[in-house]
Amino acid sequence: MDAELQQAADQFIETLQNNDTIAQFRSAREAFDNDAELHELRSRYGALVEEFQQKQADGTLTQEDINELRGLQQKVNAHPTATAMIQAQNDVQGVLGDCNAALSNTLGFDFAATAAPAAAC
Amino acid sequence: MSRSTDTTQDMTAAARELAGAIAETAAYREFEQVSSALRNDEQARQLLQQFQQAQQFAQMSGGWGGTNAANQQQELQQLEQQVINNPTLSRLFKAQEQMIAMLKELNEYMTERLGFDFAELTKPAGGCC
Repeated sequence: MDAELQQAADQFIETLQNNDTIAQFRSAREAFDNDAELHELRSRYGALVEEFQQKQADGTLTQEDINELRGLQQKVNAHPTATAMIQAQNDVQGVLGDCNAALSNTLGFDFAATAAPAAAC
Repeated sequence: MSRSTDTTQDMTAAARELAGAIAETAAYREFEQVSSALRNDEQARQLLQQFQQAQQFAQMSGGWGGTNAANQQQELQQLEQQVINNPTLSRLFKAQEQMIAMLKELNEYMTERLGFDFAELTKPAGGCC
């Protein structure tokens, strides 16, 4: 990367690091990653989804299975650490969206859509 | 004015500065030049349009099991070869590839320092493939 581009990138990174919404997002994400109870719920949910898909393929899926999966999904979504993370992510996307618009307007194409890693399909 | 408003303005100003620095890179300048060359090259634009339409049609007919699949595939390959041999289009694809590589490298640099992927978190939501 050339020196001028790196300097401009460093300046941009520094202003992002000083923003409250971004600081709140980083802290919410850290809490999300380190919440043992939520981690356990998400692991159980992942295992249940696999079981659900297998039963669906075998034709042995029951209403009870569907209810169990829905119940666990609701528990994950309602967990305070998860809701805080979702809120923080929505907020940060608004702030970063403004930055991306400023970048994209100058460049003439969507910076984020072009620079993002390829989607795994 | 609140601190948050200050930093939001600082951020958008810094984003514009960054865009200005991107616009000064050799990769971006080459992309701009070749885009301008394409605007002035009617033949290349028509060929590109024809190729994109053939690609789209082949994808669609693949989806509903079209009967002329072999003919379409042959036509697509012929058009692809013409696209590759067209100097404006081959220069355009090379310039696009280099610019995208430069932008991805920049995003990786920012991701390492920020602790989150700026582009991934910001890009418009879209369907897969």
